[in-house]
Amino acid sequence: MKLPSAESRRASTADGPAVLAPPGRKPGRLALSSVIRSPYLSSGTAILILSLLLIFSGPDFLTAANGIAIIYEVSLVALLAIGETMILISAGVDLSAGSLLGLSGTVGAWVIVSHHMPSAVGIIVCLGVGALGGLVNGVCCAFTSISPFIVTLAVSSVAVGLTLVISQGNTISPLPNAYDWLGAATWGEVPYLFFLIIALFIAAEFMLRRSVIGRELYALGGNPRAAAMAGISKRRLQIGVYTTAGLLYGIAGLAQVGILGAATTGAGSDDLLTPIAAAVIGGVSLFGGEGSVVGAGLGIIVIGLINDGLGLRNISTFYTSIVYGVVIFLAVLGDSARRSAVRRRQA
Amino acid sequence: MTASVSSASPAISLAGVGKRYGNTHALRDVSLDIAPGTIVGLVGENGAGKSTLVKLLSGGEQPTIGRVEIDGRLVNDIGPKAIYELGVRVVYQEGSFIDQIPLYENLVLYERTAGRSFLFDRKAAVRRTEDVLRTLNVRASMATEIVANLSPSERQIAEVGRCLINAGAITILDEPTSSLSKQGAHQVMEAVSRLGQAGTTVIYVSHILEEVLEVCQRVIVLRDGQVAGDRPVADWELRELVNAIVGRNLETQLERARERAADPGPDASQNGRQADTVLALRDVSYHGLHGVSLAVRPGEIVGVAGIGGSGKSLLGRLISGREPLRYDGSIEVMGTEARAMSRKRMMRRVGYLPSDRAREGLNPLGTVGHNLVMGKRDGSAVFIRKAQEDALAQSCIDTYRVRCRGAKDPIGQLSGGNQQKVLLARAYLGDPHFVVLDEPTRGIDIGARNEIYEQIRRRAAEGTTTIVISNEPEEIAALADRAVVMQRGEIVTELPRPTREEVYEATVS
Repeated sequence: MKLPSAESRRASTADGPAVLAPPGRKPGRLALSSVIRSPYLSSGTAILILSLLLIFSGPDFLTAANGIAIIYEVSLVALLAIGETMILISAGVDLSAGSLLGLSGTVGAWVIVSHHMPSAVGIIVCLGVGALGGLVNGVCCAFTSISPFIVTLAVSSVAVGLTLVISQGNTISPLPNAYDWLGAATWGEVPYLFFLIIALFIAAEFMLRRSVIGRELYALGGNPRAAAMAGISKRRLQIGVYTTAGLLYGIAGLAQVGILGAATTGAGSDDLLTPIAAAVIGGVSLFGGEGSVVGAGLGIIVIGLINDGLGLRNISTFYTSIVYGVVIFLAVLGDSARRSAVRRRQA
Repeated sequence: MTASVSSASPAISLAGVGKRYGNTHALRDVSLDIAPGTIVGLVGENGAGKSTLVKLLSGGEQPTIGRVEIDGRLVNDIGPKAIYELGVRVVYQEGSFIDQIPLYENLVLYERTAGRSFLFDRKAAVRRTEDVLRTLNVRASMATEIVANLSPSERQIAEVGRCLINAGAITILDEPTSSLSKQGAHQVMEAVSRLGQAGTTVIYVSHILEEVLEVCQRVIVLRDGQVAGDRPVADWELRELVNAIVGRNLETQLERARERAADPGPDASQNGRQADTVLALRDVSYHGLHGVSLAVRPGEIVGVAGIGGSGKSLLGRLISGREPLRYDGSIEVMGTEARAMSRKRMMRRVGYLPSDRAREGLNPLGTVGHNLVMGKRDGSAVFIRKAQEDALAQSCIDTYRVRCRGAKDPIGQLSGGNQQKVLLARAYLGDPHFVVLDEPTRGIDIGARNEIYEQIRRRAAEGTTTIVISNEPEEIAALADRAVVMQRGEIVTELPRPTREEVYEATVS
């Protein structure tokens, strides 16, 4: 096939000859073709390679303590990535994930410390601020013709500013244990947060695969006009998905405060693109309609291994973003090669 | 095909050409000579080998056996780029323009000689574009207009113009008029004739046989990868051509089907008088619609005919809830004013098949099953019952004879006709009050078309009220119990049991 991808998409929907490839399922080929078809090929390979490198370069990788360290390292981004993935599937994008994380944790801490509210109120405010930020994103995307990229960039900027205004640039602490609980409490060594994240991944994956709304998100991402003609309400879905994602950012904000024991102004500021990167490494399409939360989870593991590995091997964090860049590029390159291989088999 | 033509060396020559994909013979032993400056029609059902032949001529594929020559040069293995250099141009259905820039820039973009100087000579580019447009006998002012502002037929003509400005010696047109109104199609065909007069060899691939007979000098029929007929146009009659394409006597089939449809006719109209109307429009006005009144009885097939831009698609979207319900007048669905319903409910209760399969119908990333049930909620269900959905999808595949391995096939794997059947099945899903089918057979082959006609008639016989919107008089005649004809947003005529000629006359008069 020498055709570019746009051409092949055109060719596949146009009225071409009805070439249906014969099933041709020999046992050996079946295994191979299901590997090639798997959207997890790229991220899975990256995890395998990174793990092997780390296992054979020192004894400190396969330890419980290191496992816990990785969990702490990626848990916040993992929460953000769940929301981000759902938005990407609907053909949107959210640049405000990290800044809403920061804002929600800060506002929750602020009402407790400065206004002497009980922890329960602080928690509700924290989650509420996240959800509200998401709602603003969703409403602006649904009711204006401004692209999600711009809407969420603006909301992100406002959120960063509000965080600074409310905290006056100061770290807010000390905080009551109840407010810290989500990020701080552990079961043995394992933070409860880890189990919450696993549960949320399963719930989100189930929601996307088996709920009517999940199905509609994929349809919206695959072809917005066709979805509209089929009676799927874009506005309702957009508002719902951005708000849900916002709630997840709020949970991440709460967890972040708990992990540090304080609300800091810089929280989440490194997370502008990391959730998107994780999703993309895990096979989520930036153009919508393709991908899964589980894929994004694998992307998160890739990012966790990179961070962890650089730390274990005493490589300066200055190199982190270089390694990120290369890994993201290779993972997406691998995924697009896989997709065109699948398409070739279909054509 | 006179002596003078045959004495010249052929522009295109195929000798014993075959193309095989695995065990499938897409083309078998095709031998043809095409003289320079001829307009040749290439017709056949989908899968007959037209696309394959076009690919061989444009270098997209190589023949398995035989010789393909262009201007006496063997081009079996030289690839698309070298074939382009030889002057072969293909104009695809979807077009290739960049929408946001003027036409002349688009045309000159394709011109390789533009690279000779660093600076872009705007005046010269405009002048050349205008020349080409004049050659094609269309308004020269199109040259400086943004492509997005051109009408569909103007765009298509400009695509033809692209071949002229490039001095293409051989032009292959793939379904150049299928998305156009009759009028637009005529303009395009005139442009094609002029292209022929300018000395270009044209291969005109189309499903619209009347047009092929009108514009071409010679018509070649492909069937099952072989040449099933090849005559000068004067020696073809429409009926013979159809028979050659399908390899069976289609007329009798159509007639039989019409008899069947005609049989319950009187019954239906009697019922109609007794039963309530399913849909009643009284003096409806909307952006682009003026004072439309129409009553549709249960089980009826009402055809809506008209040329492109007559407002018939808009009407279809309005009565199916695919437009905001901000109209003047009254639209009653099963006795309830549409305005009093939510659009959501309207969309759920009225089946709709959009005219543009790729843009408005399909999710290209989904499976057959996903596309079947898209937007169809099972009441207020939150979760999908997988087993139930699979069973539903499979029953649709069986009922509508969608050719695929199963509901899990990616939709892109299906041919256009089968994709259309999926959309048709979706329109009928969920027991709608009535269905609106906008161009139900656009761009698909005669075989799939007949299958779709059968399904529409079957559903109507089972009591589903149907509104068929179509550009093609033949389609309205084949399906409709009654037709209304639209012009400029108004219903101008109503025709009981119309014939093709009646519909055609009413749409253009």
